[in-house]
Amino acid sequence: MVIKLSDNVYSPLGTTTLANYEAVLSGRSTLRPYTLPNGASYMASLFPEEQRQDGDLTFFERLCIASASDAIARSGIDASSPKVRFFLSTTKGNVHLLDRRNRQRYDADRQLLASAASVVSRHFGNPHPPVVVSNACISGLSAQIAAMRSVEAGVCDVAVVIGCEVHSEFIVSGFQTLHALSSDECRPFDKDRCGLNLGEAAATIVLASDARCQGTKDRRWVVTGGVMCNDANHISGPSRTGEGSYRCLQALDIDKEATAFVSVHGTSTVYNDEMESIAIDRAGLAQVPIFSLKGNYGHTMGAAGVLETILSMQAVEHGVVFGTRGFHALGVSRKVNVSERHTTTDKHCFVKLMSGFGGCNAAMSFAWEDGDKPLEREGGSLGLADVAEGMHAVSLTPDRVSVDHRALPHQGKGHELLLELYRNQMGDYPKFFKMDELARTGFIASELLLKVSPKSDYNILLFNSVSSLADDIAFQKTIDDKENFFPSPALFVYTLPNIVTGEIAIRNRFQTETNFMVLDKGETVDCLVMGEQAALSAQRGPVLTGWVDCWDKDRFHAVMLAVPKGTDAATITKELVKNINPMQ
Amino acid sequence: MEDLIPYLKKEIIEVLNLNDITPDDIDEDASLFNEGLGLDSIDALELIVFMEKNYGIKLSNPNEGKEIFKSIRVMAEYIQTHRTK
Amino acid sequence: MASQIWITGYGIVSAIGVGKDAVLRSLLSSSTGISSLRYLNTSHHEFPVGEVKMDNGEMASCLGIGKTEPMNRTALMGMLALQEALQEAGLSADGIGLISGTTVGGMDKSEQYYLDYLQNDSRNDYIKIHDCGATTELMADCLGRFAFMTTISTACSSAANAILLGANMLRSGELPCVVVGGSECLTKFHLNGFNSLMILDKDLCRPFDRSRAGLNLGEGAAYLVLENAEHAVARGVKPLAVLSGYGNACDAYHQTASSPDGDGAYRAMSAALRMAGMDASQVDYVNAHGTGTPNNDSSESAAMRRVWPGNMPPVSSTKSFTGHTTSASGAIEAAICLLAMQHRFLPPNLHFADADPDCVIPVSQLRTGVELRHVLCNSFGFGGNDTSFLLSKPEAGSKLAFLAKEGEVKVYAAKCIAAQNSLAPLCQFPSESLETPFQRAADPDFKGYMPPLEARRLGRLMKRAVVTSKEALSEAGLEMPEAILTGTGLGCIETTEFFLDSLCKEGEQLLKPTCFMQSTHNTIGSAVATQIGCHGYNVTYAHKEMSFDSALYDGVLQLRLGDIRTVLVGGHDELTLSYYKLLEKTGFLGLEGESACEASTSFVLAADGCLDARPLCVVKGIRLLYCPEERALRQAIGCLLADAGMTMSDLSGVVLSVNGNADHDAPALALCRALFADVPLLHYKHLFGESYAASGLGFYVSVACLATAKIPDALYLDPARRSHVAPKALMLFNTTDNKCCSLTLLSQVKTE
Repeated sequence: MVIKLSDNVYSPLGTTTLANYEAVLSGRSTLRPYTLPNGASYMASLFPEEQRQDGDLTFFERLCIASASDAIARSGIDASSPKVRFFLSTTKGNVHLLDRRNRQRYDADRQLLASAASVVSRHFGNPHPPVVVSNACISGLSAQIAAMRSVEAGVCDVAVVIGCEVHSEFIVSGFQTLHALSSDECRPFDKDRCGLNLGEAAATIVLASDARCQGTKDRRWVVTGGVMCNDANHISGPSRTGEGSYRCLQALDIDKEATAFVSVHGTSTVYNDEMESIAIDRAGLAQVPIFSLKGNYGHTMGAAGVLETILSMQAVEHGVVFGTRGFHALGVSRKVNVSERHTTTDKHCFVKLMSGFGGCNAAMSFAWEDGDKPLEREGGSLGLADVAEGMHAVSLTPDRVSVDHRALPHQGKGHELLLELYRNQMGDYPKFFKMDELARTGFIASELLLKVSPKSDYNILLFNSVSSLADDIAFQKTIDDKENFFPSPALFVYTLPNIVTGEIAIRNRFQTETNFMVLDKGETVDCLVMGEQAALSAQRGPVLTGWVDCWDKDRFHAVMLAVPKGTDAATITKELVKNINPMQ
Repeated sequence: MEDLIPYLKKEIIEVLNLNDITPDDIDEDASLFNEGLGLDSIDALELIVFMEKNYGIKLSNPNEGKEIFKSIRVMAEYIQTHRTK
Repeated sequence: MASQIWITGYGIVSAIGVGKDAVLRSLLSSSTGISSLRYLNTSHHEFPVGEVKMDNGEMASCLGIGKTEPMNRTALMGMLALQEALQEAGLSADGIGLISGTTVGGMDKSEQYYLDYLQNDSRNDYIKIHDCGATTELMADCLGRFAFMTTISTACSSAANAILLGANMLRSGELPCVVVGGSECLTKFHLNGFNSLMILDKDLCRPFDRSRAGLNLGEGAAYLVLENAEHAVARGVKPLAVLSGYGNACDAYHQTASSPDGDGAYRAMSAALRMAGMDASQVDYVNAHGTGTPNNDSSESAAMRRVWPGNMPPVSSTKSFTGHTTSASGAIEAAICLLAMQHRFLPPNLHFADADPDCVIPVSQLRTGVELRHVLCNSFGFGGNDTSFLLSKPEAGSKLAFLAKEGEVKVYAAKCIAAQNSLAPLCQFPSESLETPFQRAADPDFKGYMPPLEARRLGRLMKRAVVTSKEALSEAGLEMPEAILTGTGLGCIETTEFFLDSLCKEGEQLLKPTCFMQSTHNTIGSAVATQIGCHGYNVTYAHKEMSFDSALYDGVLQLRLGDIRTVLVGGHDELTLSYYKLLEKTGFLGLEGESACEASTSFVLAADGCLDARPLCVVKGIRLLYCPEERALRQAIGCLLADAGMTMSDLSGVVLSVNGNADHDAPALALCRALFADVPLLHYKHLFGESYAASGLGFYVSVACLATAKIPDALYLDPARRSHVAPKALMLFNTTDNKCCSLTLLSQVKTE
């Protein structure tokens, strides 16, 4: 059983969990109007300018460390112990370093998510490579689910999950060009809602095995479930039937009577809130109060899943159902119970729901339980090898492609190779031409792999080292020149690495869990983490997993495995090491 | 004290297996280690065991020995003041 | 001819995991395996240790071994590691060699059952698996039929020296493939021994740190499959790494302490680089011995600074992960180096915080993505037995000389202290059979052979070894041999027994450090080296009745390879009354009222033309076999004779290892009659007695016969075959326990 040891929320509203809870309770927000170089105005909840300067550490890294320091201090753990792992949830991390003006003082790779995460984990002396979960807006829940499973399976005793996002022109202009930003304060679920506000924050939750506090009778937070499902519908638009979110809620097996509320995503975009209302209604939860915290914080992206979980916990502990700041009149097609003002509750469970680009959705359930409650939920374990066979592998580099270690003859190289493979091996999926290079690489690998693998609905868990770097650089170019500032919406959509998982899910109609993690370099030490995380997913069903990296259109590297259900970590790791660097 | 010195000499010859040396050969004020008797670190360890066994004196750090085993006289003085049996 | 030595498989069992995957995981997460005691039954809970996190039952069930068979932990761990190594190499044990390093052997069981050994018969089975060689056989027999086997016991460098012997065997074409490594479990015996030396730290060890205060003991096993490149290519196997060079040197300074300037370590490292034809600057990482004791780390640092006066490559001691796994450490650290090379990381030196001006500054954080082309691994032992070897990535490995030198190996001196023979001239050995069952050697006056202050620290056996060695060297007119090879079945059993007896009867306190120091087998060979100031190659074999034969085999091998020109070979064992009683009650060594003796023999061997002294005889060849079938023995005899240009009819006698016990001798005699047709059979043990080191006496007797051109009547098994014709050639056939056996062919020196 996985419990919470401690937490912290570090936001423009306050630097401790309690300060933030009180700010929300008093209905405050720090949403202010800002203007982009092209004159577009937007509302956002940002830290004051004087705090934002980069020093030895970037602002992003400082925020992570500040939040984690408080949570770690409250937990009493030794963060340098090998029994502790760090998970960092973020979509864009230090992306502002792509702008040359911001970069000077750092190494070139500091903009990479794993580099920033290593700065944070090393600050606490932790020996493991940190796992960056970059799964669009649901990252905060994806990271908690990965952490929960890692603790359950004994990969670690304690998981420190940090969610953090800071905003720069990169993100703001991207959302702006998608016309997703509201120039007013957002109004989740309201009939007059017209887009989201962006927000900055860091939040940290420390999860641990309950063995740590056995014997105490104090109430403690127990993670009672966590599910991810892809819509398999569209990479940027939510499903019209709320498919993924609905499936998540169904899978959680929620006891309505015991549930105080559903803390929803509620971004205040037309489509998101509509989709959520459908999912909640379909799941039979229309009567359960729901609220969104976006009216207080804006959309804090990578931080949201962690931050909103922590504040929801506070609400339950104080017997409160939050009101939804900005909501006045229901503006969605289903009659869901949106909480307008704070009310009271005596229930001790809640659900956190989120959805994001790439078609991913996640839901988690938490319960505030008595300490002496007998153990019921037994965690799995990574176990010993029993399913070595049945694994299939594809390796794809600019000049070599192999399926199950057998080379596939081809003529082209690099970019041309991908086109050639598409034409010769598939040819029936024109969406391929719309994809960016990262998605193409992953897509081709998955197509080749699924041809030789048993038919099944695969979970998808992919990893890489540079996230969506090629697209990030391309998008950055469209905003580098302040005189010629035309952010490209088509490019921005692809500046999330998990889009590739969405493309594969859509192609194959996999309404399964999809997730994307960023690690350091694909060294063996990273393969170990990949093997562990993939094995945790494989406990729930067969998995497509592997490494999909893309630097530019001619330089890419994919190693993808089709892993049968129940395969152990060591077997997956071994196969990954073998394929990622055949010399090893 | 004056009884202890000859006794110590006899015991040390025994414990350290100093064949062919008689108690009279050992000058109670001469250095036991290096130039004097030429004992080494292993002898120091043996003497530590000897001190504990015979006088209940526990030395946990071999470096302490350096001072205490300077000469038979220093050793005898130390035993006199620290012995527990 | 030059070729490469490939490593085609390896296995590891240690505190940081059973198997390579688990070990890799711990290394990459910087998780130490050192923690508080869990498995070892000792009162010293204050010391953290690196235990393998499995009990004996769990290991046995992993291996499919029944609970009733007598087993010791060293063998169990060894089997797990051996199995993994063979599996990766895609080999079975059949037909290949095994060289294992251990010092503790079955001491875990002996300390548990010692009082039973003395008082009743309930644990007799464990007496047989007490010693090092028996432990090696125990693990080997569970895995298949190895064709060659021996055990090296040079304390903490045992496994590293096993790698060296294996490599030399490949280079000389003895076998195409050998498994080398070591295994050692934790015991109360050596935990208390190290404690008596006051070099255990009560905190986690901190190699090279200013505040370091000693080592943490660990346990484990690791084995590497060494294979000559042609053999591997023929099997379609790729190398994991290449053994590019190695060196063994003796500090010749002190029984336990290292010299301040790390002389032995410097020589070993330099020799390894020289052999590989490499410059020190090409080394990308040094896996240091780095025990965490103030003395080792500063001495090793001094040596490293001599090898790298300028830029030091990254250094770390992985004993901060595994604890000091003593005899197994060389192989365990080799396995860690291989993992680091394959997976491109630098293993950190955990718990390092504060630099010591006397020490190198190790790598304290894990570094990944590092290309390690050449890795130097250090392994040092008590007595200054220092060994270094160099591992390279397959594409970067050096080729080594694979050839046998032309020219003969000759014996130039033979000295013996056994039974009534106290350094007697060769022409006078006992002619009367022994009467007493327990035969102490008649010691000469040791005075004059060594300074009294040093003599007092040497047990009887060590003194005999020093004396026979000095006498042999003086007879051969050789001041300094280039190598010292020692065989001893039990080492200084008198002091070992004293330590064990106090431990079991009086408890874990007030134990004598001097006795512990003398319990390591290599204390004999290193005492000889220290007394004569010899820094050359120094290795000790402890494989039952094959101990001396193994030492002789290694000496002849290295002379043939041209690595050395002169060697001092000795076989030394002593006996106590109580150990004799144990042997007798188990029928071990075939002793049932037969005589047991003490034996010390020393020989000087040299390549032809290296010494001015008159040679006594020629060593035409030597073979060691394990559990051979009659066919294999026939083949080996045929090869030995053919290589020497001889036939069976040239043999003047076969010197047998029979000891007079009819039951024990019967199968050996039947076999000899079948193998050697009508060559006269000779025996010698009735004149001296039985001992683990008796084959040294057999060699001594044979040398004497050839040197004096006469076979004394007393040696003939069948009086009717007596002959007074000068013997031309003798075959020594040692098959005491019908498992290990050796064949040695000696011939007279041709006069021109």
